[in-house]
Amino acid sequence: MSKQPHSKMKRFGQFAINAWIVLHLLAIMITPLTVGASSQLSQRVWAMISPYSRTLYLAHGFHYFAPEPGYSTLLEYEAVLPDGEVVSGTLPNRDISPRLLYHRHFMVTEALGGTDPDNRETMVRAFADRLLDEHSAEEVSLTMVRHNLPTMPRIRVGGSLTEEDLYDEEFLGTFRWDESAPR
Amino acid sequence: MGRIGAQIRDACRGCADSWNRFWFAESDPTVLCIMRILVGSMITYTVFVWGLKFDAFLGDKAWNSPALLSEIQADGFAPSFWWYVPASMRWSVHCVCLLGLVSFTIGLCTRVTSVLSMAILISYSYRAHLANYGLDQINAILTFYLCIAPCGARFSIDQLIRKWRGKSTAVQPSVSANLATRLTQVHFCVIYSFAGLAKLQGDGWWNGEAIWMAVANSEYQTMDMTWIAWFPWVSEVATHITIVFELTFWVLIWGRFRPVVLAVAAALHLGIGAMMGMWTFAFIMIFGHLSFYSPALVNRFINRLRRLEPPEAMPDSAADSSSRLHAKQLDEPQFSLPRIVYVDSDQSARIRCMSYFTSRGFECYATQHSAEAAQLLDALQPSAFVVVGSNFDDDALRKFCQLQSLTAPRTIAFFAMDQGRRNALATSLQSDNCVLINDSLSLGKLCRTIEKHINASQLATVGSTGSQAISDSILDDQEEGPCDEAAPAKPR
Repeated sequence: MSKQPHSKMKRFGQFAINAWIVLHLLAIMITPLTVGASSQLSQRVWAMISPYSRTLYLAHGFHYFAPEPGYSTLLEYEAVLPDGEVVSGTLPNRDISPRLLYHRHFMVTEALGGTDPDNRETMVRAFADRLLDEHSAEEVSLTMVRHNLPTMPRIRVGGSLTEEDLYDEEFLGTFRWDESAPR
Repeated sequence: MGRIGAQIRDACRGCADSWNRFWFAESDPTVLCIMRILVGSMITYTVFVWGLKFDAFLGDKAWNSPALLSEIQADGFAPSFWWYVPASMRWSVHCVCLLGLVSFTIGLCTRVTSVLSMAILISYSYRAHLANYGLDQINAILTFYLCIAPCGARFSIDQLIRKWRGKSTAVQPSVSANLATRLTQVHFCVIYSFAGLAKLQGDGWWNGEAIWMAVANSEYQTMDMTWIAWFPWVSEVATHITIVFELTFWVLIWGRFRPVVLAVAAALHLGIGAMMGMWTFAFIMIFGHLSFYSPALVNRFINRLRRLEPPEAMPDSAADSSSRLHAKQLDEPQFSLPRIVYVDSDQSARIRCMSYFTSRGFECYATQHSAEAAQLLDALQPSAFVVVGSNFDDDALRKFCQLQSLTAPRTIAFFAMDQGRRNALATSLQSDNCVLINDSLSLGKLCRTIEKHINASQLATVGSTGSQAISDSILDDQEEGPCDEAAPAKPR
């Protein structure tokens, strides 16, 4: 008789752990299901369960190289320093080391290429502020560059991965410290 | 209707049993302890690299400025302690974070530092949101599961502290180790399945060009792979293998193809590392794959490294030379592991028992010959336990009993023998030198019983006079099924 409370606690503990396992499995499976086209059911379940998975940084879609590997987005800049000197560069560039840091910069520019148009202005402004701060510059001009992939036949006839016509450029604006919008 | 109801009940019960065996069997945390070192090193390196461009990723004028993040994360949900750290304290906090991660890696206060590491990872990841990629995701996933597991049980400062305090450092199988292992395994199945399914939406993964598209991206490229343009079939084969691998991983990893699947996975990720420079991501995925390695296999590997390779790895044909090997091993400096001599004529039973006890930190010897067992016992005096298996025939058993003219006290357990044979053996072993564990035990119970006996012996040195049956009262652990069924389901 004296074992009953202990037994009840144990059973409750077992139930709680089982329930957590089910919840956890649901959380890690529902996130990839809501990336892209998804049903209302999966979106509702995601809405309920996402506070848990997002708190633990477990809400990921795992769509690596999907739907297929594509073009890269680069960021070209020209910064004008207070003494009039012009510093230019591209992000990411091979001089960034170690490789993990290179990938960090690459992910930042890739985010620019894939960003929602509503957020793009804020993102460009943040990037401009970053470069102004980094170079202690008075103004900086930004250009987004899309590096398209060559086809195999093109390489076979003597092409390379970095031919000029593979790059599409889009000027984003010139920014100064005291401005809140591109001029 | 009654019969159908009974069948449904049986099916439900079967499912419940399978579920419980899958999640709640006990398992050895050794692999998780190794994963702690590897994953800990990776997350330490990851955070260290954030520090190389601290202001660029975590400062007020970072690429991901607070204003930008608040806009991107529309509901404002981005839990990170970095929002509350004043600018003047950021470098100090960064250094403290690195210290916490190093502590986790070396296994210092592992329970605390594992949770701390998780909090650190989450905070950095949400703060530097735009610069994240797969590495950060897998880092967080593996660290979360290591928080659940007793990953500081081995190869850790915690273990050294326990040893220094005179506490037992024997590795205990645990449900939490199994739970963490299973969750990691299932999560990797989810990762590969959805990675494969998402790829099916792209033409490149169908027409075989996807691998070309990946290696022709000069921003990723670390070696010139344009030669593939002249051999398109290379891209096609690699593309199809990638898709088949990702879509079938969750099925094939549980069966006999596991070694092949793990080899393909390692090749795939090392290829990504070599060709696209994503070494950190490649390694963290391979570290995660370790959860699919059997603890017994890993322990055998560790023992081999320590020149403690158990003789059971040899085929039976080498039985004659095994005793010579034993003698050679026993001439070497003695180790403090609890020792077991397992005597059984059945090779698979010997292998199973060897694997089980070796994986739990025992020094285990197995033999089928009673003469060899006696030789081993003489060499291992005074502290080896003797476990007699169920497949020892009566004649051999009698011979074995006659050989028990040993001077040191012995603890003898009968493993899964029927009651009649256990009693007969117990009677013939009545001597002043034997302590009998006279019960039919599962491997799990046997292990715990021996550990309890070792602990009791440490408190009061075993000076047992007269045969002593250790009663069932010390076997008050959780009920387990019959021996063969109850052999703990190890993570596969």
